Amino acid sequence: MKRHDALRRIELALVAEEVSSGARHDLRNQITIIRGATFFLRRKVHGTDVWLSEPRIAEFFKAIEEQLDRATANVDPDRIVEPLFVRRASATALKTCVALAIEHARLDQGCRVIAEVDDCFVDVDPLEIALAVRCLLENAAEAMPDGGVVEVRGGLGDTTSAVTIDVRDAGLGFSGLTPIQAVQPFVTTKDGHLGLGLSMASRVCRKYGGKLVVHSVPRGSHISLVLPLCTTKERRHDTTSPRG
Amino acid sequence: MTRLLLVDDNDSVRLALSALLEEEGYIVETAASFADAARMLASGLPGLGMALLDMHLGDGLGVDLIPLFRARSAGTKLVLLSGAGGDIAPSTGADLCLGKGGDVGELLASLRSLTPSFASSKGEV
Repeated sequence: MKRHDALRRIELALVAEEVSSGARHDLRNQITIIRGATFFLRRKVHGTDVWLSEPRIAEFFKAIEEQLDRATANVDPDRIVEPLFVRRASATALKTCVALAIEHARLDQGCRVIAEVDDCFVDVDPLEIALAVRCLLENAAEAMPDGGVVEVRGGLGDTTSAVTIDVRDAGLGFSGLTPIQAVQPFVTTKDGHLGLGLSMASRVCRKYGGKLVVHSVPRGSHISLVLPLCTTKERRHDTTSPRG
Repeated sequence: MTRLLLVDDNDSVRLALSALLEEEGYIVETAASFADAARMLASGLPGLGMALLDMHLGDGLGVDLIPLFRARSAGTKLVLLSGAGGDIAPSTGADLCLGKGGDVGELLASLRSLTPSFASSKGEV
């Protein structure tokens, strides 16, 4: 499979995961409440006269647990993502992720990207991180309708255990959105956009133990992806062959 | 007995989990938001053995409470709970990461394993 197609499938998987995350969250909360209440009630009545005199009570508790197990399986995010994308993490040069993102970013002709990335490694699926970076690049470019420069800087972060990918632009910024609002799904200041890019990038980072940071800047925007530094370089990802 | 802080923005989740954790022998306190938890932590939570942190709190992410706990309550065992699932890495700094909606018996056993000296007063049924 060509890289473009692989990225497209990952994008579909991440969109599906992000769109369904709110429903999954609510359903899992409801399951948690029912499981907790059921467990509590079962303990309270187990061995009592009511329990001993009515055998169907135990059967009902068993049936509730079985249905909850099925419901839990149905909201497993892997069920949504795996048909489209199986994560393959390995020690990967940060440069590879950024280069892939720039190569496949959908930018207007008036926009150009200036990137400077140090030699450091992260233990990630390169295509998944490339997609997260691409979301930031496209977000930055769309904030500059008259064109401009998107700056990308990658390297060691504030600590020696993390790397950061900083993306800056001099565009319209977030128009009064707080950093928390800016990364919520379906929150956007642009007509015709779904508002999923930053929330998808944030979710991707969290999967790897990292985070997305929206900085407060007087003009434009500055967003960082923070990822744990990989110190094992034995299984460096091959940067030349497309994923099959 | 282990003193435990449950941080979750859903009233019914707090009710259900508090009830079964108290049944299990924990002394349970609750916080309904990121801000509430941060405020309680700043005021001091001496002897706090464990905190259960929901990932999505409405006004912030549970994972971002971890550095605050590590700074102010270093000995507290931290458990991160995700409703959406699939967005918690083992390297978050939490002692345990769990998806919500799982088997309650397994949840309680996992919590007990974090505090080996803690002995439940209740048996399994």
